[in-house]
Amino acid sequence: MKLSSVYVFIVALFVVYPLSAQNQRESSSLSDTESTQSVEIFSFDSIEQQNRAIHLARQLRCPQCQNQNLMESNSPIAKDLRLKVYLMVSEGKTDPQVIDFMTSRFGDMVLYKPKFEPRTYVLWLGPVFLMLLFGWLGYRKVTASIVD
Amino acid sequence: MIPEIGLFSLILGTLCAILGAAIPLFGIFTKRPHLNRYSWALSYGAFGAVTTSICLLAYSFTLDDFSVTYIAQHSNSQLPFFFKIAAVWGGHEGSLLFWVFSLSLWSAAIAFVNRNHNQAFISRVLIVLSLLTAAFGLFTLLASNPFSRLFPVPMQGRDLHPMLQDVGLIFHPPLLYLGYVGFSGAFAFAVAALTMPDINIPWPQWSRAWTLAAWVMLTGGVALGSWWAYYELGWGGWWFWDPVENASLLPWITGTALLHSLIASEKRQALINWSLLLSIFTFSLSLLGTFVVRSGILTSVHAFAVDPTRGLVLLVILAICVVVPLTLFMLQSGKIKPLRLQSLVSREVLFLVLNSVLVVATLSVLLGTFYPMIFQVFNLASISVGAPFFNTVFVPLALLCFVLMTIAPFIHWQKTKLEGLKVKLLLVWILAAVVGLLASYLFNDNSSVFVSLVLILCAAMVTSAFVGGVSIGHLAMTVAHIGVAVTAVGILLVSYNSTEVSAKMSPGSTVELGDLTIHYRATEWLVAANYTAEQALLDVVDADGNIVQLKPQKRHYPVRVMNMSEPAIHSTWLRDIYITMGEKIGRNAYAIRIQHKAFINWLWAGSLMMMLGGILAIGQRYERT
Repeated sequence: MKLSSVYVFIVALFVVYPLSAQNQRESSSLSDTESTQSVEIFSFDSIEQQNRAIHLARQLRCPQCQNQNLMESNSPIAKDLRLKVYLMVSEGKTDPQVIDFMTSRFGDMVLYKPKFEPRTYVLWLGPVFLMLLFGWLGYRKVTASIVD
Repeated sequence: MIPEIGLFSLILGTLCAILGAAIPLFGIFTKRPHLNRYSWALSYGAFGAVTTSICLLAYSFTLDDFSVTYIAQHSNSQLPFFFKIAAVWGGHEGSLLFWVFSLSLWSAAIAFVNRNHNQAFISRVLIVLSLLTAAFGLFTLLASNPFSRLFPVPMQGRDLHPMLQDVGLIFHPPLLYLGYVGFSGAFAFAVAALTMPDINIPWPQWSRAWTLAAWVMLTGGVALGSWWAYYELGWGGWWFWDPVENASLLPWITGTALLHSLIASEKRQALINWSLLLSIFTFSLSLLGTFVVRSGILTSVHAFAVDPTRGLVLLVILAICVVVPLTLFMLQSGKIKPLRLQSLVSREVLFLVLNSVLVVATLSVLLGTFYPMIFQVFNLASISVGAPFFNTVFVPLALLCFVLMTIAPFIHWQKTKLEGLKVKLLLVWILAAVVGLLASYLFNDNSSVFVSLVLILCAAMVTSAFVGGVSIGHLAMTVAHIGVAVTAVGILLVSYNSTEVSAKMSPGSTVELGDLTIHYRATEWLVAANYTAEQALLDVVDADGNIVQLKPQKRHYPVRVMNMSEPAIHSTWLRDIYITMGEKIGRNAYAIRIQHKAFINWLWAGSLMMMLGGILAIGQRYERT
C-alpha cells in the first residue's frame, strides 16, 4: 500500500466515523431496551450541548421517584427520560421545546422550577413581598427608635 | 432480659422527667420555692436512666438479639461492629430514643453547669426541658418502643439499609439530633424568661453558650449530611434542596440569626423580642424537621417512617411548643425594654437587618418546601418546587448577608464614626478586587462575570476581617466569617467549574476529561462479610504525569437484595476526582462516570471553620465569666 493511500484512509476514517457514530446513536435510541445502556455513555457533539442537556435534566423531576431529578435517579423511567432529553438537545431542540414536551406528557409535576402563573404567584412573589414587608417594618422600627 | 431492663430504664427516665416538671411546678404554684431543688436531681436521674436505656439497646445490638423487633429489622449478624452501634439510631424507634437521650443530656448539662447559679430561673429552664423530655419519652414508649419483642424469633436480621452502612451515618444523625435538640436549651431559656416576674433579667447572656453549642453541632450535622450525600449516594451532588435537607437548614438559618441577636441582647439590651421569638422558632423548626422526617408527609429520599399517627402526635407537640410560648410572649412583650438607638449606622441596626434577611430566607425556603404539600392537601394539582426555585430565592439573600459581613467589622455599637470609615472600606474593596481578580484569573474557567463578582465579594469578607483588625476578642467572629467565605467559594466554583464525562469502558480503554487521562486497568470481584462487589481498577493520570489509582465499586447486598454504587474519590484541595461504576454493558464493559468536582473540599473546610469559630466563641465566654 502506498503511503498516500494510508493518508486517504485516515482522512476517510475521520469523515466516516462521526457519521457512523451519528447513525448508531439514532438507531440505538429507537430501541427501548438499550436506552439504559446508551444514556450512560451518551456522547454529545460539544461540551456546551452536554452542559445544557445536564442542566435541563437536573431541572426535571423523575415522575415515578420519591424526589429526584432525572440526573440523580437511576430508575429505568428516569434513564429513559434522561435519554429523551439528551436526544432532543442533540437534535437542536431549545430548552422551552424540551420542557413543553415533558410537561405535555407528564404534567407540571415534572418541573422543578414551577411556571409563573396565577397558582404560583404566592410562591414566586412571596419572598419579594416578605423582603419588602420586613424592610418596611424594620425601617419604621429603626426610625422610631432613634433617640436624639 | 436486657431489653426489658432497657425498657424499664426508659420508663424510669420518663417518670423522672414527669416528676422533674411536676414537683417544681407544684412548688411555684403553692409558693414553696424549696421544691425547685428537685429539678436538679430529677434531671440527673432522667439522664442516667435514659443513658442506661440507650446503652442497653446498643448492647443488645452487639449481642444480635433478634427477638427485639427493632434489632431484627435493622441489624444482621454479619454487620460490622460499628454499624451495629450506628444502627441504634438508624431507624425510627431508635432515633427517637436518641432524641430523648439528647434532651436529657442537654438538661443534665445545663443543670450541672448552673448548679449554683440563679436557681429560681434555672429551675424554670429545667421544668421546660423536663416537659419536653417527658413528652418525647411518652411518645417513644407508647408509639415507637424500640424494645418491643418479636415472636417467633427470626434466625437472622433484615440488615441495616445499605445506604446507611457508612462512616457518615455513625456521626451525621447524632450531631444533627444534638444540634436540633440543643436548641431546646435556647427555647427553654426564652420560655423561662417569659414566665419570670421580671423579664429583663440577663437571660441572653446565660443562653448564649448553649445556643452556640447547639449551633456548632447543627452546623456539623448539616455539613456531615451533605458530605455523606456527596460520597455515599453516588451521583456527586452535595445539596439537593430536598425537604428533609431544608428541614435541617431552616433551624440553622434561624439559629444563626439567633446567635447574632443574642449578642445584641446581651451587650446592648437590644432586639430582645427578636431573641425571644428566634429562640422559640428555632426549636419549633427543629421539631418541624423531625416531624417532616417521621410523618412521611413530604416525599423525600430521606423520609423513613411513613405513619400518620406518629406524625399527628409530633404535630400536637409542635403546636404546643409554638402556641404556649407565643401566648406568653403576647402577654409579656409590653414589659420588654423598647429598642433605643443613637444612630442609623450602628451594630444594632446591622443585626436587625441581618435578622430580617435571614428570617426572609427561612420563610422563603419554608414556603417552597411546603407549597407542593398545600396543593396536595387541597387536591389542587401536583406541582414540584426544587433547586431552581430555591437557588433563585436563596442566592440573592445569601449575597446580601455577605455584603453585610464585609462591613460588620467597621460598625460599632450605638454609633459609628463616619470619618475614617470611607478610607477603610476603600482599602477593603481595593484589596478584595486584587485578590478576587487574581482568583478569577486562576480559577474562573468559564470566564463568568458572576463568578468573578462573587469571588471579589468573598475576598472582601476576608479582607474586611483583616482591615478591621484581627484581635483576640474578635477571633471567633473572624474565623467563623472566613469560614463562610471559604464555603461560599466552594459552592460557587463547584457549581460553575465542575465537568464530567460518561463512557463505556473495559479493560484497556482510555477516556480523557480536561487534562486528566483515565485508563481502565481491570475488573475485580470481592466478597465482604455482608456484600459482594465488582470493583474497577482505574489509573488517573494528570497533566504532570502523576498517577492515582481509584477503585469504584458496584456492591450487592444479598439480605436486602439491593445494589449500591460505591464511588471512588481522589481529593486534593483544588478538586475531587469522583468516579462511579454504572451498569454492566457488554461482556467486560461498564458505564463509568468520571466527575471533576472543583473546590468541593472548600465546603467542608469552611464548615469546619464555622464550627471552630463557634467553639472559640464559647471559650471566650467561659474566660470572661
